[in-house]
Amino acid sequence: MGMERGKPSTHVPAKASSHGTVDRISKLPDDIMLTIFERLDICDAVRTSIVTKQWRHMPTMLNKLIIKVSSFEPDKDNRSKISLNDLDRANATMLEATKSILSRRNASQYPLHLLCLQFYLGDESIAIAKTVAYIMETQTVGSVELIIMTKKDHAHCTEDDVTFHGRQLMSLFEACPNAFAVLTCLKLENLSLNESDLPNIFCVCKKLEFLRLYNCDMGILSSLDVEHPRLGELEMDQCRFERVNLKWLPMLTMLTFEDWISQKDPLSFGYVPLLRNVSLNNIAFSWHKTLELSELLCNSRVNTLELNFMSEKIWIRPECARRLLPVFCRLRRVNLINVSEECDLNWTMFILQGAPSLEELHILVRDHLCQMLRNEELRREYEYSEKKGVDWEGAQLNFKHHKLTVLKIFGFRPDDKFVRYVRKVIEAAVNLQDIFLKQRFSLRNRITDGTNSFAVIHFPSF
Amino acid sequence: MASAGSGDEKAAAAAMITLISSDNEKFEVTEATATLSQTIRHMIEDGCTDGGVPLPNVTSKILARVIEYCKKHATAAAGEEGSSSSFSDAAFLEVDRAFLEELEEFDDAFLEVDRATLFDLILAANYLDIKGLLNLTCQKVADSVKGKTPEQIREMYNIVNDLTPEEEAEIRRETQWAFE
Repeated sequence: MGMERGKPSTHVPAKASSHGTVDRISKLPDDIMLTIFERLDICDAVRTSIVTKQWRHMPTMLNKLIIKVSSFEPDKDNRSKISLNDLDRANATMLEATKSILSRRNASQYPLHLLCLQFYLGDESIAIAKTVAYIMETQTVGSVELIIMTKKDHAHCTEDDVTFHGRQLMSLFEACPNAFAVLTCLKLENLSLNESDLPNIFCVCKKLEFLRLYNCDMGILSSLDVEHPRLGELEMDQCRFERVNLKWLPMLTMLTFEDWISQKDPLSFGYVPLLRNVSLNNIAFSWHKTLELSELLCNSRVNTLELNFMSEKIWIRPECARRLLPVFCRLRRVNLINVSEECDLNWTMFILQGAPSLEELHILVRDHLCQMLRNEELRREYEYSEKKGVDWEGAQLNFKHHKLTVLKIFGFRPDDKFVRYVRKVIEAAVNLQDIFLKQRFSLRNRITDGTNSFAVIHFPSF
Repeated sequence: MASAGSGDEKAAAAAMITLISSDNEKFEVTEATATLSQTIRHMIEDGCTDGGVPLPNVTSKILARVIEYCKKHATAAAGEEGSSSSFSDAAFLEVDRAFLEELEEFDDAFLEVDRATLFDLILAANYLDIKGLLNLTCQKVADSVKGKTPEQIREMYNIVNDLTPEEEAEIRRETQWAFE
């Protein structure tokens, strides 16, 4: 291996023997070395490339090129200490790095599978986008991702800021539509746009396969129609729309929708024939509508449904099987995440009754203490829901489910509530094969935590 | 998937494979452990594992470590395969922290080796095509050069600087942004 093909020993520094090792790293095959370079930040990759002649061209051989402005920000123990000037400088350096790496690549014959650029909206962003457009004219690139951030983060943005960001984005968009036309992945944040802006972006970004919008809107409580021929994955987080109409998305397979402020159904589904995975994630305040899945998911045929209740109120209403069947007919897997510990689980049986092809039911019961607001006064002020659980009287007598094979409960506790629930599922699901009950903190951990004992704890089952 | 579950596992547990190191030492492992290596998986699929699998590029010392890794990760991999593509697993695994931590602890301890062994493991992982092990060991090397200057990296790995001062100055000029 490596060592046999070593350099003449005269080249090995005398020091080598004291370390008990000779230079083996520079004898690794190129493809392994590339695997190592791929794991480096672009700055580290460039610094490492001048260690020896044979690594000189490694940064231009990478088939995934990821250049992030965050690599050029000053040391970030405390983000609040980073000034706007620092961010401007980082953005300028990011532009310089992009130009320098890509121009060195020009001569390179290695295919570029992925070009991912992360930068802040600002003076430099037009030059960055122009660089992307230029590269696309001269090289073949598999996927192009832009992560466009704003210098002010969500917590510090005023209404004026998000409007300003929106204008910045649109002038960037209008200055180089060519760069947007080639994107496969786009992530935007903290912007308020005009009514026609997002539809325009969808129209120009023809190749888009992934879109993430974080804290974006077109005016508070506006409504957004999404139509796109290629989009496969859509994520919307804290976007202040009243309603998002997924009107025509023939390729959409995955939807993640978090934190809506609508008091009605926040979503509607039009033509989404391939949509398989839907993940909905929300804290339900008292003004939120309790959603009926038969209505909300109408026109979709999802395979995997994930509902995250953020340890707060259950924001869906149990419904009868007859209403659910049209939307649940292909449902194979349901994940109920962060169900508050104070909730009873009986209501979840409505899902079994409405989804005859369900195979796996996963439930995570947890009061996520570090993410929950626990101050009673503030909870009232922000209109948190007082009652988290949901009552349900619709259980069918002698109901049998034939497809369910796996039940997983994380955050299980060996008390009556859980035991009764598991028994109920066992009685109904006649073909159940595996039940996983995982306690958040195992008994073993609870006993030994903080002690130094080597004693082995046995839990005989007889 | 779960429906195929326990029966297959039992069958796999029963099937044993013999691996033979370059220094002719024999290792008996379960098929589930061995097939973490794509190279061995293909051999099994082609039905050419009778009489043992000779691995002329791997010494017994390194093979023993590789098997240790595969044994530990075979169970974890089985779990991952079972849970089809879906977002939730991260959330569940986060809670199932004990399991993850144990695996991480194992990996950390596993990487506590001298540099020669680390490079042997990289070459073995590459030859045997064990993705997880290759990722793990390459990451260890990548981590070791993070934030270091070229001089520090050369010293750390006993690499002779074969660039002329002019060449090095030129690259540094071209890529000044990486040195700020």
